[in-house]
Amino acid sequence: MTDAILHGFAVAVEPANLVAVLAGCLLGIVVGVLPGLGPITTISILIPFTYAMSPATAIILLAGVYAGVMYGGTVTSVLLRLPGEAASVVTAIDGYEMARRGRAGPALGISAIGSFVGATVALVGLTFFAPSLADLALHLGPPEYAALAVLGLLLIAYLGSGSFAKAMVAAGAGLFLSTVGLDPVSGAVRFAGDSLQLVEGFDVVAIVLGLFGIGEVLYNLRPSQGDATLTTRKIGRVFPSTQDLKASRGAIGRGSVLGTLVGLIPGGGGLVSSLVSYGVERRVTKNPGEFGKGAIQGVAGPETANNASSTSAFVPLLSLGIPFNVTVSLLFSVLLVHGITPGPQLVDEHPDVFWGVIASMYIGNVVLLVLSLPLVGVFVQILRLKFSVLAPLIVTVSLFGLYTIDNNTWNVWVAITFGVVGYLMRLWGFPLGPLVLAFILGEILETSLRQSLILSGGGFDIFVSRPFSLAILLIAVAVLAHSVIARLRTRGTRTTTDREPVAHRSGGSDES
Amino acid sequence: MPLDSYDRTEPAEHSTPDTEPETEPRARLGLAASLAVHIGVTLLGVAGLVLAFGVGVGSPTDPGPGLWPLVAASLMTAAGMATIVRAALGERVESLRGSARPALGVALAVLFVLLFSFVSVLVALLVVYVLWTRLLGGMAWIPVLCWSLGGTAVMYVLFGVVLGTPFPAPLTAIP
Repeated sequence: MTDAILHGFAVAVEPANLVAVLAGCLLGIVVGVLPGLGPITTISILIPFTYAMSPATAIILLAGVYAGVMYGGTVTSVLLRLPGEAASVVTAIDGYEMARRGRAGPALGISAIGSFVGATVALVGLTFFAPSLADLALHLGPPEYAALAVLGLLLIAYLGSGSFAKAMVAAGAGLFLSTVGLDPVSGAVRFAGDSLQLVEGFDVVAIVLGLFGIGEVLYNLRPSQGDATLTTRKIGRVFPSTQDLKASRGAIGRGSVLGTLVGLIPGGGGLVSSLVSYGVERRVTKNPGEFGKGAIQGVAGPETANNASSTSAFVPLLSLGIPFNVTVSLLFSVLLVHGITPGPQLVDEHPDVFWGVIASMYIGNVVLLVLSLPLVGVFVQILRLKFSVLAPLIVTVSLFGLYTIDNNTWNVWVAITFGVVGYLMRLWGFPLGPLVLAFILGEILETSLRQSLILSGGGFDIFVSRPFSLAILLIAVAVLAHSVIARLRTRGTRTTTDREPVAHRSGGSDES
Repeated sequence: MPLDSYDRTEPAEHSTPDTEPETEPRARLGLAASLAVHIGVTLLGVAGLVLAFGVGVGSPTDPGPGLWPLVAASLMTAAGMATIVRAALGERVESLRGSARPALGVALAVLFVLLFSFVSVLVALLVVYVLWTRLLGGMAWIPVLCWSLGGTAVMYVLFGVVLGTPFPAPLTAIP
């Protein structure tokens, strides 16, 4: 184990990887602060450029961006009450109130410290837990994988903020889109007509850039309502006082553990973890009245939890080979492009990728702490950039990037089409995350389902006769039942659902 | 949400600690339109069912290529029906009001692809930046020109020089 970790650090400090982690973190923070760009859009814009890199460098860069965005999103939450990414929604409550009371500095400072602690705790968990889980996962067969993928999809839909039925519509659409092209088992061509491009299926980058990147730009182009007010540009002393640190100690500790655990659950990363942490902090505090009026625990806990969960969300990817949130699923597809199938064998077959990425995450975490505290003032200046200048840049960079995948405009047109689809989905309350995740899980699900049926000779009893797959399916049924019962119970009390996506700029709560 | 209003520095006036940045709800669709939206979405699922049967469903013991798409389309259709019920019970979604600017954005994206495919990358970048910042950003001409020329130069260097992207346009300025 020690040898492996040392090997990981040797990979991480190779010049290309060191540059990648630095560039990724810095870019991530900047993007987190910028309006209209969330982690999903940014990572998908960058994906075409990572095809020329080694797989380890590519993932290190993108993981750095992911971590950086989580830090950067806090800045706009605190100063503008506009979450830079969905997971910072909760920070916008007490963080903004702290800023209005002249405590923007400590709010940002405690977020940075909490994020560092949370992510580090989750990383230690990842380091020790992922390899053992991978060993365990080696015993899983196609029925278990099929059951896990089903459970993942259900939980994503269930834990999302919008309607469960709409999330399932989106998931169904994603599953269907993933079937366009070659049938992975028989090799038959499905739904491609005469199109050569469709035979290869849709490129996930084109779909994601369309739905999230272009769709989001379009959504933000609508005439604006409401008002966002920058509280202050003078941040002052960023490092929290001893009193602040003392007050947030418990919140950071609880947030780290909570976030790490919640991040392991499909769909639990990001927003869910910060909501859970906020709820816990409000319950354990001696002064619940302070919450909503600038309680530092209301910033420290959720920020810690969201960074911990976004780190532990890598565990299912690196050990099982199943991505359970959209951002991680993008990294999954990058690995596939590089010819690496993430799964239990990853740790043995590609130790440089497995341990290199983990070691880089440790380094990235330190980089973020070191960069974010002293440079907060600089990042605040980024807020001066106007969306009307950024929007055409986002659109043109996205479209050019798609063009460079195969020097063909096919993917560009696909992305523009999905941009319109994404705009309408957002408008009508269909979450985007389940569509993308179902698109990516679709092939795993179909292949493992059909392999299971081949194993069983066509009987569905194989899914319930194996204890692990039965257990997973029982959880899935429980989730489904709970969702239906909860819906029936609330029907009488709620006639309309006025669920505005909370974080418009980052794609609502799908983003994690 | 005014993403263009970051220059404001005056302190916030209201003191209610609400979590929503929005101040007033957006316009929503009426019952008929809302039903139409959800029925339309469900019909997409039905179209998927038709397509799946078209390629051959087979049976669980001998699955055809259409079996799994059939499962996906069934999920979409069933969930779509649930959304119709919810719409009928009173759930409302946002209306298309205010979609003129997004439509202009789509038009500019299409124009961009056509220009860089058939005319020139430099022309495409410059024209789209000028039109976007002027029409959608409402900026004055001098900042429009500064941002557009700067953006074009950065993109040209990034994609043309650094990445060496071979662009399709016959008149492309990138060698």
